[in-house]
Amino acid sequence: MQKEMSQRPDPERAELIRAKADLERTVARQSRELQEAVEQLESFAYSIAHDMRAPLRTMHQYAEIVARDFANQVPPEALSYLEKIMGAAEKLDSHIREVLVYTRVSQGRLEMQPISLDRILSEILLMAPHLNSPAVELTARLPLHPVIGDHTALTQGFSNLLANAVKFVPAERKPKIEVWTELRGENVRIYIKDNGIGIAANDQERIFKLFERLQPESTYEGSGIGLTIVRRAVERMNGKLGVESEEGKGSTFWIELRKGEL
Amino acid sequence: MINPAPILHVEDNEDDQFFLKRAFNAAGIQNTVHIVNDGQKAIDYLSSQGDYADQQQFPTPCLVILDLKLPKIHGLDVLKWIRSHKEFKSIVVVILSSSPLRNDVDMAYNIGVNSFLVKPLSADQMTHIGRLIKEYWLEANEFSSVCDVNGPPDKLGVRPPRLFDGQ
Repeated sequence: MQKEMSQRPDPERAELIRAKADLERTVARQSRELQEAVEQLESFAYSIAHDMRAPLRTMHQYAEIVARDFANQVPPEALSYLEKIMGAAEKLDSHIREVLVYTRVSQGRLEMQPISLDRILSEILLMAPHLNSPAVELTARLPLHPVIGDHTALTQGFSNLLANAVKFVPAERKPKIEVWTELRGENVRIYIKDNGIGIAANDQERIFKLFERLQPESTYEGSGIGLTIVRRAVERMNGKLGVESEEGKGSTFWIELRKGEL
Repeated sequence: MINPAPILHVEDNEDDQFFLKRAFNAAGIQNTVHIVNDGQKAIDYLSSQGDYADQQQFPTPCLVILDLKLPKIHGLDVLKWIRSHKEFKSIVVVILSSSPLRNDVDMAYNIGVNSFLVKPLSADQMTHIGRLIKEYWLEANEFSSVCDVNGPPDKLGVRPPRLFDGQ
């Protein structure tokens, strides 16, 4: 009896299978289209950002040339305005560069491989000597456990977190940063702890969003894109990112990635 | 001793032409600088075609400063053209571009550029670049005989111009 039933075509079941296949195809197509749209948008953002730098460079250089080459003919008050033009151009240029970094982190091809965090940290310190200066107390519990990641994306994420750890510290306090790793099953969690201003519990979600700032730019410079770059880099490496913090008592940011063997 | 051959500046943006000229003046570079504003003109200049047929007036440069985003022919294609012609293979080409796009930088070095510089934001940094070009490329560096103004022309496909005839 059962055998007979299985041989007989079941139109409902066939219809269901067809519908399922249709649905899968539609979802796949829509995901592909969405992905393409995101890529196009990011590529558009990249070219806009890139093209914006040229006129900015022109503005800055002419203002500078007037200030330098015609210093004797320009009244001091006007010179101070030229300095303001240059300052604004520098600020905008720095924001544009961050947008370019963001789109590069978003679009660049990743090469996931075992990576030595000790090496990445020493490379970052070479490139950003202010992190390694006597004005900053940086303690790394070496060796850090290797992870699986992309060298560029991880360097970008790690260095942005270190830069923030130094930046968001009250002027009268000496920045103290601690870096360590912890094995969590198949993963490694990289911690970066600072003694900075901390983040209130209800602001902790906001900080990873694009252009969000909790502090006025006059107190702490920046575009509000640094942590979004970290988030994007970590997401693309299939990792996790988090923060533990209390206002006024410093923050501990962490990145979790698959553990690597070197 | 500074090589007296001219410098070819390939740049379509007049402001950028001015900024480099100012930087070269500040650095004390005395070589003649010929400016062409698109990729085709750069090739015309080097191959002594059209407006640049007079080799006395437009001699082979010792140094080409090349922008990438150029009208008519892209800078990387100009570079490919230069490197695919044996008589220009050894000319020093320095790219001066507005952005260090990883792909462009890698491609430029693969094709055979000698150096890749990024246009800076400030005029002071531009002056610094002018000085670096003078001290490294024009003073410390030895050029190949292709841009030697009195060099042996026989083995080369083109005759190097004689700027100082009679000397």
